[in-house]
Amino acid sequence: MLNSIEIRNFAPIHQLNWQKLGKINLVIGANSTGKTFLLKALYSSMRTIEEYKRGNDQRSTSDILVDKLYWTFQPDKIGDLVTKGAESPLFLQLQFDGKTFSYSFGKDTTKSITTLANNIPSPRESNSIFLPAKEVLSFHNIILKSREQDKVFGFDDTYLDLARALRQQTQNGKNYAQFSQSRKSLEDILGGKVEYDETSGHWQFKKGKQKFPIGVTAEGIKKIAILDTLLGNRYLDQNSIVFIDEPESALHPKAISQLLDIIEILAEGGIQFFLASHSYFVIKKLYLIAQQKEMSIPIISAETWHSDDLQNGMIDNPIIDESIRLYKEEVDLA
Amino acid sequence: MMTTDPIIESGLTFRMFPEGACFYIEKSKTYQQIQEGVKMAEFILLYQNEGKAPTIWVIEAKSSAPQPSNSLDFDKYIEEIRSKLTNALTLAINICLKRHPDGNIELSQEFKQLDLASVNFLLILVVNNFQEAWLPPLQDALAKALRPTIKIWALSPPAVLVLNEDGAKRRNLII
Repeated sequence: MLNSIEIRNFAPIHQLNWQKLGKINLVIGANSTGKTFLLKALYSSMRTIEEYKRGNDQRSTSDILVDKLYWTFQPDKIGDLVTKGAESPLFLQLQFDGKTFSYSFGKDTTKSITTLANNIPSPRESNSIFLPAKEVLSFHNIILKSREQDKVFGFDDTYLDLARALRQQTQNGKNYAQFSQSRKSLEDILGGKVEYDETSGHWQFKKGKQKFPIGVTAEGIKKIAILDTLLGNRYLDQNSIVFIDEPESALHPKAISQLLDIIEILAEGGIQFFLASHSYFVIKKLYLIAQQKEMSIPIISAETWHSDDLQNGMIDNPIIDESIRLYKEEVDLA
Repeated sequence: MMTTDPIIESGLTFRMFPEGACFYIEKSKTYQQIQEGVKMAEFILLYQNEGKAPTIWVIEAKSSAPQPSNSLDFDKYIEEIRSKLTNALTLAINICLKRHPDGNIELSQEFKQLDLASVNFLLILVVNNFQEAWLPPLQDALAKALRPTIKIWALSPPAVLVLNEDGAKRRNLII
């Protein structure tokens, strides 16, 4: 699992040093503060580590990283990812299972990263995945065509990788205990199952004997179904890292709590999670999980990049402040 | 003063607590001597369950709280409760430390024998006639205001509770 992260001059992230990461990690902050950016920066590094030396892939770590950064952030050139006006180069360093992965490059960099160190044993068999705020089942084929055939910007690598991961068939047979338990809980929330129909090439929602086209299925159902599918088709295993951008989007508060309970079970089973959120319910529920399970849940605020741990208590944060402000506004109506 | 009588405050009747467990700090002789300019919570409760670290509950009771149907000033209200709970916590510990001669006479042996390094603390506001839906923002606001106290005293979460009548009944505080 990821143990620590250090970033400097990476677009909106001027300086970040996040030590003692846990199985569940939370990034909070207002819009445009860099929450999603941080998750994508971590994801592109993890996928670089995971793709290196996999199968017959002969690309160097630098080649893979440049490709991942280019297609994940879609800048004109990767040098554009260096914070505007920064005097020193972009720098990222991860500790993964105690081993270091780091790279650095300047604003004129186009196709090659020369300052790069990868001490993580290869090939890594597990997969990490990024779940964007929007579901992808409805336009899964469009993502694949846009990226695989047309090779155009629009859908970034987080979407492409997810669309490809979902293409794998669900496998029967024994799954990890926590995964089976979680799939059961996910399907309880769904009230049915989402399946890929090979003949039509479309996803559909199956409830009892009835089948519904995915287009008319609720957004929240599709989101939950994505996680269910990735657990069922074994794309994820116990050493995977799952990055979830706004787990709350399109979900009812009750479903958010249920989803976070499932995430806690999966985290106990080994999966590491990074969540970016601005939801009152997400931060409250994770605070409760941290207390009830005596579990470290590191939290970082994208406004200041100051980190803390929900196990130590609720931290000062603008999400709860806004809830209090609204309440005061309501009281002032009297 | 220690009491085993039911405490009636803000329209709430608290239950009878075991001997030596309830220190009625607001009515104590020690507080009477220092009360000028010092706001105080109602009483201090000692919970001792076998196998668990003892817990001191600092209780403040209010007959109301800011809500859409009244015009109480929210910030002033929170500050008043914060001040009362923090003062009660500080005074109680200082009595345990024998810094107040009268306090040492007033306080029960149960309190005096506590290992203060390992005791847990819970700061509780009980509000009469308050809807459950209004509790979360009040609890968030009070917890935020008490955060420096929580940090300084290294209180384990959850260190702050805001209860309405039902919540207080569920915790066996009132009858």
